[in-house]
Amino acid sequence: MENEMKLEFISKSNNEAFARIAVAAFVSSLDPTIEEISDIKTAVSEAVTNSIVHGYENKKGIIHIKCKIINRKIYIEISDNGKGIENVELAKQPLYTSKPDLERSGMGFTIMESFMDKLTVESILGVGTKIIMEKEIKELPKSENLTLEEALRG
Amino acid sequence: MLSLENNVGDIETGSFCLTFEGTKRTGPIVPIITGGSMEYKYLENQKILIFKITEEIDEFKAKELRRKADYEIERFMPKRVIFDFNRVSFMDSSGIGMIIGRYKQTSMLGGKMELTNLRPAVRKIFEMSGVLRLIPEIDLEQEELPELQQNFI
Repeated sequence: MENEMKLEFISKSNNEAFARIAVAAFVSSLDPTIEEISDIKTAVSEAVTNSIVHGYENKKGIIHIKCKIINRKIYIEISDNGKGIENVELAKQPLYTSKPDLERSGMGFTIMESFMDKLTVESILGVGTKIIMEKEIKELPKSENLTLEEALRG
Repeated sequence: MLSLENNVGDIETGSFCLTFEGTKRTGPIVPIITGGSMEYKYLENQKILIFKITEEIDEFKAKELRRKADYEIERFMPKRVIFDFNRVSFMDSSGIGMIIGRYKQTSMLGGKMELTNLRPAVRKIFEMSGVLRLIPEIDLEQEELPELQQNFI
């Protein structure tokens, strides 16, 4: 199966819900589990929050999301033209945050890394940041799929 | 199940007092305040402040929750603050920052904090970040709080 989509929206934090729900809806054709969907939504939310809070520092800018499905893999690219990350390795450390005064947990990249199969971060100071994440949606045998009742409860 | 509307006839002057059918009144409680992304209830006798978050928690919502929770915690100076996540189906790391911030504030005022009714997706984030080692998860139904038989709206 192959599919592709592109989204662009301004860097307002009330667009976070729109972004993660749009990506989740796009992925839903692969019939993911509740947990897989929730992992993807969380990872998208973290990346978009980073662009808004750190990339654009709450100023107006555009955030781009590109999604691609190839077979059972989803590729999500989230990019901004914000200020960029000076030290990507440092930024990826658990609990590291450049804005401790704002009650940031410093867990954004750690969550993206552990909820998705692969995370790539490209960043150029003054130019912007691009995050590419991929995740394989496992094909479950029919009997192991959640029943509708379980899904609603979960 | 009782609803707040059925009981508002019993409001006394001064502090808000409610009597619930079938439960002995154990003291004045502050009724549930609805609206927005969070409801709260204060049990005055036990000095317990319970927040029930009713929406997904992300960067956008965390700001609002932070402001509302801080206001109520400072107002009541509770011994215990309980965050009820029963209706939270999604949370990202903004929620961790928000909860740790309220934990610091509650501790500073001499209270302790607990979480309850975590759904799997939310628990996963809290476990990953180590928050549950700092702020325990409790079973609200095991607590002897007769006032809580009155559900949140």
